[in-house]
Amino acid sequence: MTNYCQITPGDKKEIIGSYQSIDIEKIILLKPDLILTTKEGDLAQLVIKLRRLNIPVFVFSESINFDDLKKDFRHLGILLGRQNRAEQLIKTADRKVSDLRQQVSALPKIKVLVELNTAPLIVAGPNTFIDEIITSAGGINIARDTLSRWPQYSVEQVVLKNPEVIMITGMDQKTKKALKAWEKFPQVNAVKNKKIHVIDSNQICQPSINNFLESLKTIIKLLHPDLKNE
Amino acid sequence: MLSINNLVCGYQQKEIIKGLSFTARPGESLGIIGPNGSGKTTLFRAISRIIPAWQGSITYQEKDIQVISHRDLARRIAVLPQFLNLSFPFLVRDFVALGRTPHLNRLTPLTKEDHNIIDSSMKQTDTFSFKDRRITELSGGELQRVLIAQALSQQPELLLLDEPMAHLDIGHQVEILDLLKKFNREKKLTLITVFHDLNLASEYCDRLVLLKDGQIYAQGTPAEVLTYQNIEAVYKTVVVVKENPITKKPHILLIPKDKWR
Amino acid sequence: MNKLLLFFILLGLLVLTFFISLAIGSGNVPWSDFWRILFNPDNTDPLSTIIWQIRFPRLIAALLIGAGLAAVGCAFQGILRNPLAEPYTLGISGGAALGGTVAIIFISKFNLPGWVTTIGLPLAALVGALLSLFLVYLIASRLYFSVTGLILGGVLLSFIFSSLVLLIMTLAQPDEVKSTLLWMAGNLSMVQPDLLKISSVFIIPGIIILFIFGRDLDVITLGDEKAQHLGIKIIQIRQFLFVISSLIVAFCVANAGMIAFVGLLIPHLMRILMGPKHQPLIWGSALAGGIFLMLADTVARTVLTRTSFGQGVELPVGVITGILGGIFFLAFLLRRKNNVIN
Repeated sequence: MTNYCQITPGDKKEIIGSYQSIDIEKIILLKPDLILTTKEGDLAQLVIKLRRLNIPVFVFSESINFDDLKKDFRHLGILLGRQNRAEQLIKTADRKVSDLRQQVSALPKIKVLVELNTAPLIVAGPNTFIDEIITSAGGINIARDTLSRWPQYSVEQVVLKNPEVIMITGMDQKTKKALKAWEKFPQVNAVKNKKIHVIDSNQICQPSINNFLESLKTIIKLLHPDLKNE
Repeated sequence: MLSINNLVCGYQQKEIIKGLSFTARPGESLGIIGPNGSGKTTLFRAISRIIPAWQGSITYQEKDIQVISHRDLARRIAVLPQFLNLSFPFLVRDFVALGRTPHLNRLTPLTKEDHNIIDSSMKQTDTFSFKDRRITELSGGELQRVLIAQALSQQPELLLLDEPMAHLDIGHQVEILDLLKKFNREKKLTLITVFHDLNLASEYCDRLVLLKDGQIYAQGTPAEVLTYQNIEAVYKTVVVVKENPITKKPHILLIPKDKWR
Repeated sequence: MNKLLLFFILLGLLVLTFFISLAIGSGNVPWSDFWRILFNPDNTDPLSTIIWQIRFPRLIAALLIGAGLAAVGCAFQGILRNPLAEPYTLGISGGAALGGTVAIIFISKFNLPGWVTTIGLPLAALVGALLSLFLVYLIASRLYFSVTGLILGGVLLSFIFSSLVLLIMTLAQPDEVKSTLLWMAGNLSMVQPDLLKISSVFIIPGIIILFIFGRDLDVITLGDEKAQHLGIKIIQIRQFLFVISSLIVAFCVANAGMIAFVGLLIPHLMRILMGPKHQPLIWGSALAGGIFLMLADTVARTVLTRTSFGQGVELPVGVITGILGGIFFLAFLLRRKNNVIN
């Protein structure tokens, strides 16, 4: 666990560093059977070191879509000897996701902007987990034609592309400021129709099949409030 | 005009001027001489209020300089320090105009009178011809004249000069000193000048103050002060004092150590 | 060059730059619409929103910050008699940025009322700026205000501050890291009108005060002693001008992060055009700084956005000023190595 992880109170897991810096000595002392990590956060050097120490490391692919997530989960099942259970979970999740996708496929596409920071304005771009969820939920990420995955985005483009929904990730003070910043632009549909939502960044920014499913449900509810729940 | 009474001052813990008194009379040219470290520059700094008096006082026209505002003092006393920062390329005209600072408010533009004073200061110092050049491009002699023009445009009653001839060749030295002497005679501008060169001090001063270790060793006319006994005692060197055949002022001749008897 | 003529040229350029920058952006506004919107703002028209709600406040911010940084650059160079002095090279911007980073990261942790956030950022930036000013002053006074002492002290402080910023970043959340980095790099995206209004109340009078003290600055360039000989109370005036300058820098940084080189490049160019007298130089630099930063920000918000791969992507303006300013300054250094720089 790093101090960026969601930690359940009373959990006895050790924290071995932060998102950017990992305490390798602590890892060795903990004598893990297996280490799971992702490509994000640039941990390649650490992985090489750990493998040299004969500690098995599994690196998740840069999971940006549901298929990758399924693949990763299947690998994890094999590694932990719970292949059947994994397949079972994948199948259930897969079915649910397909159902949800089916439900929204006929509905009109909704233009969405997902905002990560206000000043400067940083949004979710293409090839991101968030973009995949938005698309699956029957939305179009208006920032998906940029070159950067997390671009600093032009406010003018937001006004011109006129999203119907704006989602702000994060909590507390920051989102309050973000909400206030949009008040200046009443002709943006999302502002006009009060469709600016704050979403929990823990769920939408941590890719896993379960988070994907839950996030998808949340986003669909936000994008299509009239849709009857299953 | 300016009188110094039992002055003691220095830097941090170190006492440099150890109790000295003298008076500069209106219209005279007073020279201050003494070996390195005898306190010439420190004395100057005290007179221009850069450093405070620890004991004693300095009075200007019967008033303690501590109670005169910096601005008022600057309207009466101009100073030409030994070192000046000249890295900004001001035009000569603008540079001379800075001498008007104590007479101006922050935003009031220069009046016609100010311009007249600036122009005449430049003409008197023969610097008007290059008023549109930059001070960073001037030769040593030209620069020294510009500095004097700046001091003149301050319209002081008293001008303090700290070795104004340093780094100049003898031609320029004489030129600058003649110029100063002219102002002294014609405008009754009182001069107090620190000299390194005793012969120049002798030629250009009415009176001299000889310093030794922060105290006055001798004062009086050049003939009274510049005796071989005084110089040998203060400068720890052997000299012969003769008379300049033209000016009748004392002239000091150096004797190298291997010729000492 | 005739100063009055230059004043009108600069003013003309300023107006021209303002309108051109108002007309250019990632969203294409046709000229015919532009003129219509300019004289008849219409809140329901998205093009009008783009021009009046997005570009206009942003240009005002660029103008204000550019002018402030350039004027402060002039003042620092005069006070310290050092042509390389600038809020950025002296570490003042770095200190302000450290204060700002602390504010951004920690204020968001607590549920405080909105006005606290608005005031907190510039306040923290000001504390940082004053702290670094104090330290630079301390270091420099130990080294007799020598050119090397000052710049070395400033650079070292900048290093320390940026390390402290990195330390805070290591403890922060990944999304905060990117946003703080982009803010620090000098950014005018999403100008906050409340903060801008407060800032203008400090920056504009600040520049005017520096202008009023222009003659004092001229005299101060001659050296502390000569300044006193000319009736200037050097210690009080220098401290006063330092505090005024730091105030301006703090508000510039609070609005837009660290924008490099404006305070160095602009006063130097203007000194070539106008000479070193500070009263004309400060207003000239303020105008030119405003023009420069408006142009730089226009480049920053359009250079990528019109390309097919970078639709809607903006750059931090500090990237543009850093690159342009750095190159200009290098060229300048190599060309005139014996004059102003010495």
